[in-house]
Amino acid sequence: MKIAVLVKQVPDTGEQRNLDPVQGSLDRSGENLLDEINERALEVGLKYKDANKGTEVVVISMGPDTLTKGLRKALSMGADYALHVCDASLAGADAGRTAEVLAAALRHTGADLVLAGNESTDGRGGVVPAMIAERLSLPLMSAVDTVEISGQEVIGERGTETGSVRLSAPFPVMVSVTERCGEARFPSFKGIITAKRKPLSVLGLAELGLADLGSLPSTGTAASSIVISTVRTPARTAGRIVVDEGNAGTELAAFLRSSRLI
Amino acid sequence: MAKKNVEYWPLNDEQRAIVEMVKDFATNEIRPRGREVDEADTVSPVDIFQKAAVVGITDFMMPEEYGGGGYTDAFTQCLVQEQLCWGDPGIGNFVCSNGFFADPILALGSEDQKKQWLTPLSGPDAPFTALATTEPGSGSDSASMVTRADKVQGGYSINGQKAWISNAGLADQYVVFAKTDPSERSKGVTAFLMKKDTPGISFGEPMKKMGQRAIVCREMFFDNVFVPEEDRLGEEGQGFYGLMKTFDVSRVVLAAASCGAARAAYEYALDYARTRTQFGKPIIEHQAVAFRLADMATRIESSWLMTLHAARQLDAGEDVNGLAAMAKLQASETAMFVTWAAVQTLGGWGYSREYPVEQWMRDVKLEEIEEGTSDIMRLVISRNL
Repeated sequence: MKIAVLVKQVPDTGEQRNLDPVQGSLDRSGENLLDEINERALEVGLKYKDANKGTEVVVISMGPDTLTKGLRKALSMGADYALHVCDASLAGADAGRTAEVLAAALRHTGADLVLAGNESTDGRGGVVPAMIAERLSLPLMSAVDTVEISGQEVIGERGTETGSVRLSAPFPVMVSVTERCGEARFPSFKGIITAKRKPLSVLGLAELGLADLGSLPSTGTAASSIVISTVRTPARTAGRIVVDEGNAGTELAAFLRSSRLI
Repeated sequence: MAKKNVEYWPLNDEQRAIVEMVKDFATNEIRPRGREVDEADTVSPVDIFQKAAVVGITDFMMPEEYGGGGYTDAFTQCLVQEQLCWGDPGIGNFVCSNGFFADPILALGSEDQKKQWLTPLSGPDAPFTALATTEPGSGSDSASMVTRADKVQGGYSINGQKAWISNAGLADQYVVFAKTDPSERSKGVTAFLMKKDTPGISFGEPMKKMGQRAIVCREMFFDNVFVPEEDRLGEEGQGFYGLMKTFDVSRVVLAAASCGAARAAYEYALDYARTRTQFGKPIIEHQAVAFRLADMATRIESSWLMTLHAARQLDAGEDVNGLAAMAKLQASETAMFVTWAAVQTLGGWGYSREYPVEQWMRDVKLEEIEEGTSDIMRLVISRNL
């Protein structure tokens, strides 16, 4: 069984995160870490590998050269090898373009099971797994809280507002997990030592057969989104204090209605 | 301390990954358990040790040929210990306690002994170990110990009493120091290896401690304990030498432990001073508070630099007897000052057990005492002048 795990490096959620109002992009100049949801997805794959010898786990990511750190961490946790798609023209790529590139990378490596987080902590679009599944014509099992992998199929459970839905799909399949799918392991000292000996291949767009992705005139890059305008969040103003003189409930309800909140 | 793009000393990619992993471990597995372990008073958090063993924190400092992580250099050990003790001083020292047991075996042991006694310490199911030197009447002056090892047919008979033995009772394997020649002082001390279930060994009740309660200490009693000749560590009379040899590295590592605890208290106090408002402004804008934080940061910075400097000198094979003592003296007294200053900054809340700083203040007091008191550190430094 070959399991591919899609990972991404994101700005540290413990730090202040800023948007560039001109570019509309996230400031990624600070500390970047492997997104926690990706580590949890990787854990699903590694648990299966622990119990099933001969399983191969590959981590795949698209990003700048600083991504090596995150990929090495995934390798030190136990992944067998890493594939890094690195191309300057992909800077600022939107979800659609990202999915196109990652789908090509998956075609390149091949996989029986593709695991991903349901959404990243930076973009939070939550659409990339579905877009990849569409491009590869894979069944998509999205936002599942649990994953059971057997020799023939994958079974997952997705929580809903009223209960849960049990899903299953045969291989090959694309699965995105929520943060409920379990804690990720720590890399071990031995894992850190062996990680530097594991293969980490870096591919450009040409090597994935995507040389003709082309640049968009607006940005001069192969990324495909165009920022039309940006608006800052309005500054907070002082709120209204409702003093309870026996009619606070009515006052509050009237205020909420006037603000169209109820 | 401020976030830096330039490191104190260059780390390689592996060391950076190790620091990041240990920081995560300290944040997620150690820090949240600190108060509970403190309140439990005399219960070692065995489950945290086991989790640490799975990732290799309990054996990373042991040589690769005995299954350890192979990071035998003091520098990497300092990086790790600083992070762990930032999580909690007692738990941080607890999870690395097997290093104290391994040091005299590495210094004095034969190849067979190293294989037999160190190999079991590697891997996810590592047992606990202990080192027994201190006695009720013999602390700083360890050459004055009175526990005896008398030569008998095929080995030795040990009689006496040890005190303040970390992990005693919990540990499966022990290094015990005893006098083979009571007429001598340091030259009469010999080290022995023994297992917990050796007939004649018994343990006292857990000792009630001020802090670092993750490590439970007990007295040990030896009543005609037979130790075969092959479990003698090194030659007769070499024990004291083995003990002294381990001090340089353990003192530097404890200096790093002190730096981590100090950083924890400083960060806590800084955060509090920025958010706590009195007299209409955050208390950090009151000079009395700001200057105290300035002193805390300055002393931590100098302690950490000195600790890493001592570690690098040690790793380069220099004689660091005086420098290691300086690092431990400086870092442990800094930790005591900084945790005191953190309690002071938090005021009434600092004195409350709802906040961790009072516990850290009790915890770090040990660092001015263990592996040689600050008085002994000054003695060692002065002898190296």
